[in-house]
Amino acid sequence: MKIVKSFEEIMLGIKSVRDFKEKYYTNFFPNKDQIELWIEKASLYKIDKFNGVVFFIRKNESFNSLYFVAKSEESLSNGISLAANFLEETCTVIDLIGKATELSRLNDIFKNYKFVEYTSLTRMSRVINEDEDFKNDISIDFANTNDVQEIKILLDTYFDPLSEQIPFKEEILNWIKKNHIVVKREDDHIVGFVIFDLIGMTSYLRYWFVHPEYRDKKIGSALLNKYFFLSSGCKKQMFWVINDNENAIKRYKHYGFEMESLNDIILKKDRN
Amino acid sequence: MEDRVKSILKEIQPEFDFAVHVNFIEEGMLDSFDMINLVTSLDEEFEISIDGMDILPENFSSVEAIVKLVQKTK
Repeated sequence: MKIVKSFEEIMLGIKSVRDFKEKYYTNFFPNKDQIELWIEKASLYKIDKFNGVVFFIRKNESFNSLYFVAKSEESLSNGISLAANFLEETCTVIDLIGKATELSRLNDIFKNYKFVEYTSLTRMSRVINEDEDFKNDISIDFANTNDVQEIKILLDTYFDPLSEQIPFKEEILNWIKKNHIVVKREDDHIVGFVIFDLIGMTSYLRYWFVHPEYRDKKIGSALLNKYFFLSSGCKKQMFWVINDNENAIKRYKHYGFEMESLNDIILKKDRN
Repeated sequence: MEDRVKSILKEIQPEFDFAVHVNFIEEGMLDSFDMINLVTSLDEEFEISIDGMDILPENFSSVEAIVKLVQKTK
């Protein structure tokens, strides 16, 4: 297992598999900015010694995230069996993203190597109508740079690192600088927030949170309405929701979001 | 070829109009996940295998860029 020191190494790894001119099985959708942050944190590793498959491993605090690029199901399966030694030290998590029908065979490959389904998510989205009119709720503030630590603690405390990809402080700071975090404050503390990305015509709702002691006070809807107001210039809003979170799905549907056919199955293999 | 590319783009993101002359990546019409799906679809549609080093946002930023990529790969 080698540490990755440049984005080019990622591209070369993908190229080595693509050069077989076969199929393209992957759960790795590299975003250059994010990858460079992982590299800066010395948290990204590569295993490229097996035929027709390359693995990328992101080391998190308590578990590893496993990504693959493979030319065939067979090479993926062989690669997993050979890479098993590298995956024994700690818990390993893998996201399989795609349509349910496409994922079942990949799912079976990993289940053969002691991965079990941890949870699953579905992408929800809504297309914004031009005549929608959202109010600017002035009780909801933009987060400022002094809020980074408090937001980080709330994310670490209330979100699941295995399925919800807790961001680094640097990422939180970047969102704050872009005015992409809005917060509800009570007595100088943050009791709720929404974090989002806005890229041209698409907005991604990343995190929506209300502190348990402040729920049922319409803070969640105020935060979401503020998000709708701030992203009203885009055409599509989307996010991932955990499938067994029925209350959240019901609320999102109330706001006009629909389930897409895109799934994210999260598999987990505990340390030996 | 242009029409076939547009048709694939429409399948991936039906909400957007890919006939407009904007940068698809900067305008949020395609993200990194869509790019990989696009590679798979282009491979199948044109019986090619896009080089791993070419899977970069600039090669998927417009219909013209995608057509150029397919032509280069053929």
